[in-house]
Amino acid sequence: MTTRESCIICQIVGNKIPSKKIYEDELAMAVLDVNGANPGHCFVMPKNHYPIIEQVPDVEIGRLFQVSNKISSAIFESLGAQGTNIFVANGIPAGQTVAHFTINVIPRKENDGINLQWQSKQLSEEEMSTVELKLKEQTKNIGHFENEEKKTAKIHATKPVILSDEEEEYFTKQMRRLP
Amino acid sequence: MPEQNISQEQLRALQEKIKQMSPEELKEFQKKQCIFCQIISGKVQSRKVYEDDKVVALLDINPANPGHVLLLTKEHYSIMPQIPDDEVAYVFMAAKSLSNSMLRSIDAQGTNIIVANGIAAGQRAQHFITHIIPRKDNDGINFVLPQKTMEQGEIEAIGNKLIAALGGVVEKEEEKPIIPFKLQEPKKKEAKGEFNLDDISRLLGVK
Repeated sequence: MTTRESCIICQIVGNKIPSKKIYEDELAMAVLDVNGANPGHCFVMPKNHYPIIEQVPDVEIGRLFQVSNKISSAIFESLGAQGTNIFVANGIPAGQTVAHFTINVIPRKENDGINLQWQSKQLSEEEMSTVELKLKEQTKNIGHFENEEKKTAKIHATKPVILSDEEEEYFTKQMRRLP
Repeated sequence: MPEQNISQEQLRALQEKIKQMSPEELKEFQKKQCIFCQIISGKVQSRKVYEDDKVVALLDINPANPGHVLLLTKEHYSIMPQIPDDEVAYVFMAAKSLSNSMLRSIDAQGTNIIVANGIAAGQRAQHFITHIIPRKDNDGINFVLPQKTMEQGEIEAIGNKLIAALGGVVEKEEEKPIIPFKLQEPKKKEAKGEFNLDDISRLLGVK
């Protein structure tokens, strides 16, 4: 397991900070947000320390969102929610506040004061075509996903690997400003 | 979806008809009405940026930001709890790759990944959609997640309800983790059916 000493989520995962856990397996953990947007708001996070989604291995992504979906169903069944949101903020401009990838599962009721809506922006045909071409060119690189769960030693390692704050990869430059 | 000029009686008849349908019939009924299924099959034009055998990603015509992508399952589902585990995993592996593509090709400084299940959550389409929105500093988007305070007793009660619904075991000692359960186990199908039916009929505009 990889953890980072200064990370609050790693401390929750390591039981150094108390939390109300609702789910745990070898890769994922889910806890209740004590200052949630609605009662029942949960965080689902990888036990390993990854600041942003791009760093999380596919196997763990699969597990984390499966767990999120189970929690979403559980919220419908047991809390009488009228809806649920799955919400990820990836990077500071997207509203991420903690440098550990987290999925929010939020129970919803009508007029509950939560706003995840947006004003649509008007783009010209040319602008749309430009962004389409750029994205299409890049998505050609999307290959096979690592759908098979690998029983690697890393997952079952007993001693956590502690990352220092400096050991971050180049594309997480955006994350450096995170606490 | 027909935003129809039909009489109250026709509306009631349709509502009644939907109530009588089996989940399979309902899915088939919805699929025929679904604009996104027509986009996926190519009957309706769109700007696709990624496609494989399970998912399609296309540009939102009313984007929150340039490059806003809708990730769709090729199979018709109206909400996420209906989707089998392996497909859920696949969708979000694709979402991760698309997010990565945005950081690399259109100068996104971050991304939001958003799913809305049900009208109360902001769902507008009757096809399960994962939104992937590229973000930049000061781009005018402001998602509001208020912070509500809960009493310790309420936290315990809600947490324990969720643990029970997840099929987990509540541990007596605070520090001990919950005994993990198998994800693949099928659980309480009929309970799911109840809220699905309600949601689905509402999604069709037949409140």
